[in-house]
Amino acid sequence: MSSNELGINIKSTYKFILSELKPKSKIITHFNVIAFIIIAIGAVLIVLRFVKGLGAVTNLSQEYPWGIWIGFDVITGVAFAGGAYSLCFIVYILGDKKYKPIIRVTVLNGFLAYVFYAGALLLDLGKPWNVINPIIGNSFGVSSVMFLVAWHFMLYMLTELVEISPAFAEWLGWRKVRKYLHGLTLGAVILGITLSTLHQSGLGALFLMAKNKIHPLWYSEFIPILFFVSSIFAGLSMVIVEGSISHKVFKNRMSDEVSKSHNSILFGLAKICAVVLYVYLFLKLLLFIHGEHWVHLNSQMGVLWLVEMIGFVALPCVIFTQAFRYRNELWVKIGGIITMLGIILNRLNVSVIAFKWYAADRYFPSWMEIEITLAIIFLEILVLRWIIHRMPILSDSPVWVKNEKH
Amino acid sequence: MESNYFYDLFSTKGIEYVLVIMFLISFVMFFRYLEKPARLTARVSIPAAIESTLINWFQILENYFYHPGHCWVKVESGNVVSIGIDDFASKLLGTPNKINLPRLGENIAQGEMGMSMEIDGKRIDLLTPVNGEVVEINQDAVDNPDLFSRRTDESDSWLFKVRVPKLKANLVNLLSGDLAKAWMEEVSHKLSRLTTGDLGFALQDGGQLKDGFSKEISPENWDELAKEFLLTK
Repeated sequence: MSSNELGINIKSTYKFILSELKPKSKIITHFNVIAFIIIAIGAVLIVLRFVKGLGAVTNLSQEYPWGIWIGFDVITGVAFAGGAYSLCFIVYILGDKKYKPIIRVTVLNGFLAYVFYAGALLLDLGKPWNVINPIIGNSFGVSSVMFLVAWHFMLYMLTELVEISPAFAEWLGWRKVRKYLHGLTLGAVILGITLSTLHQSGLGALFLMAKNKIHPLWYSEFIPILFFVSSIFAGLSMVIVEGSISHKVFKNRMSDEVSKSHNSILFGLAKICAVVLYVYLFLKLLLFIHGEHWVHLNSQMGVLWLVEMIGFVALPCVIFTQAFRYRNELWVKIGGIITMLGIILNRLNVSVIAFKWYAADRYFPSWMEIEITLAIIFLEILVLRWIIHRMPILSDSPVWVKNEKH
Repeated sequence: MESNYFYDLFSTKGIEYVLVIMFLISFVMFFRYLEKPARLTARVSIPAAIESTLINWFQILENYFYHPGHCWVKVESGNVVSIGIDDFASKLLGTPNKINLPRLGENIAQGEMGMSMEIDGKRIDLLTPVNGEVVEINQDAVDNPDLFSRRTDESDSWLFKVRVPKLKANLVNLLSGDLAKAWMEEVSHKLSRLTTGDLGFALQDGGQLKDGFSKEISPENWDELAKEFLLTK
């Protein structure tokens, strides 16, 4: 189809995009200054990493090949992006339209999370140019869980792009393109949910072969299931916290529908998180008993495990329950923050802290690894802000979209 | 090197079975606790001088059960209950042009949109407060909605009757007594904020609210305001 048949005027689109590149608000703000400094330093360090190798910027070694770039950026980041598939399941499959106002921003967050964290993955690979191999067939590696993770990440990014693309088309004023893309949404949603169930658990499956390297309190043949179940409340907690921040920061971009439904959505998500946390707690308890792990409690790792279970699983479950019953927004947000911290702790415990816990020389990330991680996060936030300020993500779709529906 | 470790798979099976059964039982209890409305002691303390004024705006009757969607339930006999709309909803909406009730024999569900009123060309849905089968309709209300809405005695304003198989479980989700009063105080407080805007609390100087007061507060979008209070938005 030619651009004329699709109703696209390339010249005017180009002019429009150029005009949209201009800043929509003040450039010199506290947040922008801090973000730009961190990103600038991160960029220099990334160049250094590729010129001089991993050893120049990280504390990774043969003993500890995976650090916070995998443990935090990829594994934790992908768990937090689980809000997209969870919410899509609730809205499109279970039919609960209450959450529809925030679907776009959640899917956009998920899309950017996968793009940036898959990008972060490239930093950690010794030979990043080989990342294309599982896709193009130059050594698929089908016996490795990595094959599944690679294909799923790629396919999931594409499906989320298809899901969010109607918003891009609305921004550009491409009416026919928007119509076609909208028709693909449901298929993309179904594919996205299906893919997510497997790669969320697949990230846990990556650790199955490290049986004697991960502390028994965290290792289990059911790690994939635990990762999948925890990705539900991880993602929804992220939606709660991110939604609360957006409600304040993007208030002037928010449509009435999104703004008015904020509290109702918050309490609904709190209820779901409370239930899933309750189930997850019992799953962990069952595995604890099954493996007779009480022998490990009287140790540093045992204390860490109890802190994780009591402080970051049981406690947020109670907080969410009471916050929902008393309709207390503040407590919902507190529960969300504690849950997110709990997920960070859990994923880092599995991948870094409880990994080779017996070794004399333990891994600790260098300041450069932490700096690059922060740079990626800030860059993602800036991109998210750029998109929300211009495209109908939190704001209403253009009038012509509603007219088309009628 | 991986060491061989043989452990008895069945040594903890008994405890695991007990744990799973405990989980199934406790999950039901947990979910019921989660769904049960909490005691509404208002987070914002309402000055005592205003309390009685606010609560006097709207009638809350003893031995009546109230749904947060502003319908009341009165237990008649056995497991048959009568249902009406409460004083707040009646004053909020004013005189309807038409009342649409569920059909005789129809099954209704608690918290679902099961009835509606038509006022000035707009349709306002209301949530049904119980699960059950409709066994009687107040035809007088359907035929003469304008006369019906002028009745001063709320207890005489039933709309339809329902046979509720699990009456106790349904009533657990409704508000009565002190809980209902606290809830109505909070609703009145929310209403008071709309009428006084950013002034915060202002003592009302007496008098009654006009029927159909939602139109006084928001002439253009009174239906949206009504839906917000009736939880049907």
